[in-house]
Amino acid sequence: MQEKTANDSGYNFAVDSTGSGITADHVGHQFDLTETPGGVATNPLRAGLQMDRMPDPCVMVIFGVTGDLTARKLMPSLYDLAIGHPLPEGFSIIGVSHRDWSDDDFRAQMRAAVERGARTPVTDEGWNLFAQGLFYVKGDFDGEETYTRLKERLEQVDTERRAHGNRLFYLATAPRFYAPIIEHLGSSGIGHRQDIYYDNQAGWNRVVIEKPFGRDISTARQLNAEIGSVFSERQIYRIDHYLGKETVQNVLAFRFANTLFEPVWNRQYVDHVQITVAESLGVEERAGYYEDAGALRDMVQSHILQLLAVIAMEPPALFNGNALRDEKVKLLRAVVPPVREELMIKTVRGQYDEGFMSGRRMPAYRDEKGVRQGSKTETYVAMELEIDNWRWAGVPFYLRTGKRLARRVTEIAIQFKQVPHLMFQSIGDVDLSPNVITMRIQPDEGIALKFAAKVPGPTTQLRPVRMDFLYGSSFGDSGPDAYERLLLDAMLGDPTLFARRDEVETAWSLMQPILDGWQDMALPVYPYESGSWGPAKADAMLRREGHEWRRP
Amino acid sequence: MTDNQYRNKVVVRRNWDADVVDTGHIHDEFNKMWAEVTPTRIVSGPYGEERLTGHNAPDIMRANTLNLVSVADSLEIAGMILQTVSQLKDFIPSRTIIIINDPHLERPKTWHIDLQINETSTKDESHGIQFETITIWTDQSSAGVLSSIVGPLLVAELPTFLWWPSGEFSHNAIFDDLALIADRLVFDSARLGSDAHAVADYRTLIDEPTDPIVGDFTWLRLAPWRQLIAQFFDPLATQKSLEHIDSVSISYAQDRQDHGSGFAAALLTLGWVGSRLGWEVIEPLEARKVGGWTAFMAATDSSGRAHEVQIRLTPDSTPGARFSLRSVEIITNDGTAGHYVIQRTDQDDLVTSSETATTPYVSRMVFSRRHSTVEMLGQEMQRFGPDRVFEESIRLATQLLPE
Repeated sequence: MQEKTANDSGYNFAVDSTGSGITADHVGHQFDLTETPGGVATNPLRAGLQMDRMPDPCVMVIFGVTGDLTARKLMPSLYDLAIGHPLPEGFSIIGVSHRDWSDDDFRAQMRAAVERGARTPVTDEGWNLFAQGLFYVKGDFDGEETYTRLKERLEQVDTERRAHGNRLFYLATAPRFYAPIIEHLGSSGIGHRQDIYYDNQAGWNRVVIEKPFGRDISTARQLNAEIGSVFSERQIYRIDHYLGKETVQNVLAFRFANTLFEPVWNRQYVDHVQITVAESLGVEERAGYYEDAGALRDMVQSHILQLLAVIAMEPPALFNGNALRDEKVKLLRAVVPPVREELMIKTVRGQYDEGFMSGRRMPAYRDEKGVRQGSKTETYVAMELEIDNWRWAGVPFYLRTGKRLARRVTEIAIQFKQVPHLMFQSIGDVDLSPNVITMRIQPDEGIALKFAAKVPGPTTQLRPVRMDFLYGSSFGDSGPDAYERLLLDAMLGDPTLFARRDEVETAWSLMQPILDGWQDMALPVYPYESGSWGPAKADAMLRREGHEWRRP
Repeated sequence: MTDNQYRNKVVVRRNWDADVVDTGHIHDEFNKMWAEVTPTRIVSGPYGEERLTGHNAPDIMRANTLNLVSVADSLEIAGMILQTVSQLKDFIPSRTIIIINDPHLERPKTWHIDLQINETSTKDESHGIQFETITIWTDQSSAGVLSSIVGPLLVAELPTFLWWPSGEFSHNAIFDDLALIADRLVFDSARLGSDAHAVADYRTLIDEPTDPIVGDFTWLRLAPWRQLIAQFFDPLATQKSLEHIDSVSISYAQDRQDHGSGFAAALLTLGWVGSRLGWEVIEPLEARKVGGWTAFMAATDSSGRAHEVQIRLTPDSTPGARFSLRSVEIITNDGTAGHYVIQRTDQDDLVTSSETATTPYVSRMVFSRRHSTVEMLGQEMQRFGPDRVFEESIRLATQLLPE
């Protein structure tokens, strides 16, 4: 059993991002929310309705409304929500961006986006009802006059559509604009701090921020401090769309709504865990961002650590904002990242080279448009983490993510230990591979259990077989997009599936020694062929411990 | 995804006439049929991962959801069931058993059995789900006969849904027989007619704890109405008015477009509002000479004071009233009057309006498309547990029915 603790790395794992002396423990509990907004939850007519809590009438202000995220995800999700569950009377959207658009231009652009991306077919009637609530404000994010115009527009929309001052600010911009937008929202009086949950007089203000939440521990703390200077933590919703995925939420149901699995979910039975987030796409149009980020910042610090947290955390007492997030933070604090020399044997970073995918020759990362010559940005990361707690001590957690891998797949595999005694050895050649529970997050969402069975016949031969649960075959349609769920939760004031400040900062503090170590020790970036499963060095990393990467 | 993006096809089919139904033979036939359509599995990889071979094999899934049993007592209903099941999408029963009980069956044998493996897939065939359909034609209707056949044909470990599309079910031997093996009953109370006495049968469905859980298409149709009524009272300012409702007036379609009636919908709406707000029946429904019904209920506010709530149910035979509810009007009086109205203007739209002493008159149109039978059956099949709000609504609604 490993003796050292997370703090041995020299990094401060007890997060105190405010400088106020409040530790993460306190951060977790100072926001002891009344979990349901005061007014709506007490309406007796709401009981049993599909949406037992309807969002209050509100205006959603989207900064960066001309960007890809708005067109691809936000607007289609909002339309699906509006059609599928009637959003409240007066729900409106104000888009803010620098393009010279009128309200009608904005509506036309958004209709095209919705037609491309919404699950619900767009009809004239449905669209016209939705579009009545769409408005546009032109302006630069760091220009004061933008916020003057936005304030006027908000007041007008508030009056005309009775939004009661409820505002959801969505930052769908490049991260460099987060701080100026927040600052201007505060200085213009549009956004204001609310320390109580529900203010029926002034309406509520909430802000949704897209990842990346900083690019290292210090920038994450700085960003949190900047946002925190205008909004209180209970008003801040850091979105990681992985948590909105049905299949990720189903991991919680699988673990905590069944008695069968939890008793074996520990070091006594589990040999090791593999988490794979593989992308078949390359860097595409995102080289500008990706060159400075790399796979560790882009995927591991956020999505993969979220998956790790839900798969390994202790059962929360309740499925609500703080209980779930407290457990995730507790788990993350028990994670022991590799440091210094360990980085050479417990982490591998790679970069995709030329190769073939679907019969087509694909370029190397370094030859992609926008990538610096001789770039050392990693497009692949594999690492071994340990969790130093009672449940998981000694169980390796192998994480890997990469671009241009053989296929797009996200899965978590729990590999169990071999049986303690194999009574079938006397019959010779026995292929008894261990039990594996595989949770596929995407695609082919589902859960599979592999176990041994006897091959029918007069001789005793064993063969691994698989018991499969496929979402599609049991539930048909794969359900709403993650953004639909998360947008609705933000409007309802339910932070359960959003990242809390201490969670984000703890995640960064785990990655920081790795980032620093890679840089200080100038560890190599191993090339791997596009269309492969990553560099051979990553295979060697597991082989050293008698394990092998799954081929998902 | 729109309807026309889905495609349904028969992958393989067998049918035959028989003097007796040999359920073992049906299982054997299905096994052979699945062997014909299932791609070969091969084992590969260090962890014994299975791969499917064959064209499009990885994208075909076999439904693993529930058993659906349905009975038709006329050719018209039989056609509707077959068409509905063939159009299901998103959520498909693993095995559908359709009994066509036709006393005029002119066949040389007593039973005709048709087995199919069907596949529903998106138009671009990117993925598909395969499922089984058994159709049995018979002229047998005596108690015990059909359940003895249907029981052994159910896929083990999966819940069984009985869809009873005909409406009338009391004193029906086949219904009683099949309800015993069903976990959930799906029916449409709109088909019970506009007579209060006919709707009284409703009571019998939830009386016994051993009865199957009931799902009602009429309750599904009321979802947008309930949503909008609840929405009136979400703001704290109007929520206190719920204790001071003076009257509820509901106008309903006398004859629905599908030959049903909106009476059950009106009654259920009333049962829902009343049960949520803790009302009690003072006077049950009494027929009015001018048509429709009136009743009185008792509401008690948080300080313990009781007051009467006047109820009016009014049939509407105008061309605009072809669907369940035509309008719901709620009047409150907590010192000052409040007026809340929802009206269906056409099959896709509802118009809501409200006015109180503190908020000005406001009206808006809400897009609320009416769902097809295919969509409602699809929704019902995704509900497994009991709906307590629905059951409480039925209980209060049936207390309102005259003896």
